[in-house]
Amino acid sequence: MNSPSNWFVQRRVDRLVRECRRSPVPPLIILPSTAASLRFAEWLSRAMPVAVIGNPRVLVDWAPSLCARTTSPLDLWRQVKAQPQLPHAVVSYPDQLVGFDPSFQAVSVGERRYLFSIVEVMLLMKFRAPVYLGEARFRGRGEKASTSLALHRLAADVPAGLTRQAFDAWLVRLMQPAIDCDRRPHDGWLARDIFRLKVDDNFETILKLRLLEIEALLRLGLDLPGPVPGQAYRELQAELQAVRRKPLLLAEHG
Amino acid sequence: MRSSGSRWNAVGSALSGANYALTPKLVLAADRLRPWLGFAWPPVSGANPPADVLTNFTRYEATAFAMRLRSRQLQAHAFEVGAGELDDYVQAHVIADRERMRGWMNAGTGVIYACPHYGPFLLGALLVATLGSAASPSHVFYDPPESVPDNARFDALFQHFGDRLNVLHNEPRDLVRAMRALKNRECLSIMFDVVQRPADSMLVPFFDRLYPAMGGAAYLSLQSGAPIVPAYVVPDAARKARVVFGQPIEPGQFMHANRDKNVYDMTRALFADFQQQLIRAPWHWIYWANVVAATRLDPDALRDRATLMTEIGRRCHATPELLRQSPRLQAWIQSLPGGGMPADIALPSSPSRG
Repeated sequence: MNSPSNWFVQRRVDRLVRECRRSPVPPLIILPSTAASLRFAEWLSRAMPVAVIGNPRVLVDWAPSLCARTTSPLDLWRQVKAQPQLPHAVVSYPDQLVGFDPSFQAVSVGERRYLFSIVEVMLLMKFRAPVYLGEARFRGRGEKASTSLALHRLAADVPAGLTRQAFDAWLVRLMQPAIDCDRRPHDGWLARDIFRLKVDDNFETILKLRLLEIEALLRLGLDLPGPVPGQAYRELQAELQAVRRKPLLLAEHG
Repeated sequence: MRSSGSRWNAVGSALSGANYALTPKLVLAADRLRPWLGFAWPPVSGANPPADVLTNFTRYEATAFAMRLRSRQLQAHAFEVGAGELDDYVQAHVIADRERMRGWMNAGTGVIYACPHYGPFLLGALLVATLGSAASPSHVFYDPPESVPDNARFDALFQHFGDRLNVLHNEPRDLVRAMRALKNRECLSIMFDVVQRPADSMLVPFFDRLYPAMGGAAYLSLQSGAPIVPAYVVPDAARKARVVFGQPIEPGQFMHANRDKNVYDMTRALFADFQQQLIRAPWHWIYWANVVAATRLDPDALRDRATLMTEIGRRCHATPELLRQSPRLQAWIQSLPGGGMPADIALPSSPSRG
């Protein structure tokens, strides 16, 4: 607990908490899913009230202490939209969410289309919260991959009325931490596999490829001694093949 | 005029031969100067193999560049072959163990030559064409130009040999024709290393990855009894191509009650043979990018059940949307110790785990 990296995280959290105390509105912090950023969110949540926008099904393993504070973008919006002030800091991990609620919207970045929740922009427009974007810094590869986190304050003065084009531009600015990781995917980016599902054109293909991978691995089990997972392949084969033939649309998961 | 023309042809041929012979030497000599001159070899076609394969090969890029220039030269030359020149051309430019080929042809079944996009593969197809006759043609099977526009030029070339070589495209009607041809003891050359729709393929272990493969060759072999003979074409000296045969894969060795398993196991055997060839000579394949893009597989998963379960658990938990689609898979994963959650996904350094 007292390693140098934790000391740096503590210092960063202390500095942010001091800044937040000076600001009348708690901050909105958008982070990529890395070991360092999760550690940061855990420390921050001990120092001040925090809600996390993320995927509890992956956080249960990556950072279990955050699970209780984790919610979907739309649920968070419903909780706070009637309040005059943002009641707590919001830490958002947009790269963990494929698209769970109707707040998700497709946006083009270069030649790719991503699906992001618009709730972060809505929070910014309504509460004028100070925004911090996390920048993941990676070192090493594979099992030796390690990460650190840099926080950048975004000068954000979003007018209440935005054209669709301007809105999309803000959405892309806020989602930059995840988009940057996608441009240079690294082993230390924990949401790497999940994030690929957010790219619209890839959704069905990638889900089906993932299904093929699971099928192939179960099938490899047929050659190994013991009933599992070869037995599972025999039992699951029909269902997996049926899922593979079915259209799997991103919209269904929105 | 004719004598002058043939003289120029001879000069052109000599220059072309000199170019072919000198290319590797010049490229490798220039490669020695590369650190000082600071240039990079242009990509002729295809990507480099993944880093774990490259570790075994020094000066890979220069060698691949030279080899691919040679292959291109051989293929370009082969595109000029006319209908009446086929036998002479193949005799002069393709080195192959024809005795073994005759043995396979006389074994009472058809033969499936599995040819990847490796080296001057076109010359392999021309070799197969020479095995055909008007009464018993050979066949080449590949994707139609509607899927791969570049294949139109192969269609145009193979039309010259219409009575001896029949083009079959990767579509249901031609699959039936391929089956009929094999049952008539004819031979078929099939390009097996490219998948147009990975989501409709099967994934086989290949260079510690799960690589998308089609089961077409295996399916045809099992249905017809024809063996699959892997055939790899490499550029050789003196403007010739050499056909290297892999280990023939006999359908009789795959007699499991489950036909899908037989197709899978045969396809896996074919790719295992191809992997051996690529380990020996990786420079000639143009689809390394597909390997780099393929999903990694812990090689221990092929031997160790716990590792295999970890690989399955990792994928299931990274794709909860998939588990929602397959309740039985979800139930099965949850029934495993620890809910099938692989321990290595957890962050050992996270404060909550101390």
